[in-house]
Amino acid sequence: MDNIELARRAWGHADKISTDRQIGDYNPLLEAVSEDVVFKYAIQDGTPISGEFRGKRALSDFFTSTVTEVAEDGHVNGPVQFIGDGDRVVMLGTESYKIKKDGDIVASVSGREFAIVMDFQHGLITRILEIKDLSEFIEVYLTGDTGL
Amino acid sequence: MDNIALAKKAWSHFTDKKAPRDPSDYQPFFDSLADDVVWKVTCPEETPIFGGERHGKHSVMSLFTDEDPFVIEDNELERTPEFLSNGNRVVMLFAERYSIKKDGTVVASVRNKECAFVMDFREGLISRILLITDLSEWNSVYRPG
Repeated sequence: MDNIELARRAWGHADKISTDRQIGDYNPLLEAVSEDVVFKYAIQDGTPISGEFRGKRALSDFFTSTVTEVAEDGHVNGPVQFIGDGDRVVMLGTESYKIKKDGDIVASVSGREFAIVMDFQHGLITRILEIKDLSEFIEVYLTGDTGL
Repeated sequence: MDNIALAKKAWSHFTDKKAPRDPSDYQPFFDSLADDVVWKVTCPEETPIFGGERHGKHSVMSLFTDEDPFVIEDNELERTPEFLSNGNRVVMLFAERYSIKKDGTVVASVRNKECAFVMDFREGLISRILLITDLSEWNSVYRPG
């Protein structure tokens, strides 16, 4: 199986709305990553999703706990596309989600494009970088303003 | 020339020239655009200058030569770009830095910003460009209201 096919299998849960996902839905992703995987959002420091999440356990906690505290109803809009060349694969798609703070929904993002860059080594994902505009998230978590 | 080579040539002003760039530096990029090219940056629709879609070569050229110089400076690569392709779509992965100007003054500096240019090619020309990046610093400076 080539790396594009491995990436496609790893992100199979993306088709489901996040609130409908069971913990087991993340198993294909967790099985696809190395023990020392590094996950990172391209975002400024100082938010709950900033910084690097290192290791399979941290990645699992991120998706099953951290994300559920700051976002809701996350889902991919339409098909995703995988483009790759050897050890690096990019997943392109569009998503919608609601931003939560202190248990309340405070902002909504609709139809926003994203790129997830994955590095592979020996058939496992060793690094995941997610690139997208996070202006609303920064407004909520850094400037305390939801004016957008 | 394959589409990756065309993409590399189109962005040579970014890889080969340092800021501030002369309008003529952008000529390879402008020459690579289809007349009906669509340009979009991932950000809220109402974001000044970068929000929404730009349609047509002239509108994209205007962004680079007439609008950018007044609001962005010292825009440089921080990492050698990488190009991935599946044929008619080329993805350019890179990191950049830039300073944001407002009313002629630098008000914010952005470093090591990860970006993905997604370019669609048609008959050797770029018909669509999507820039996927985080514009939150820009929005903090320029957001309406």
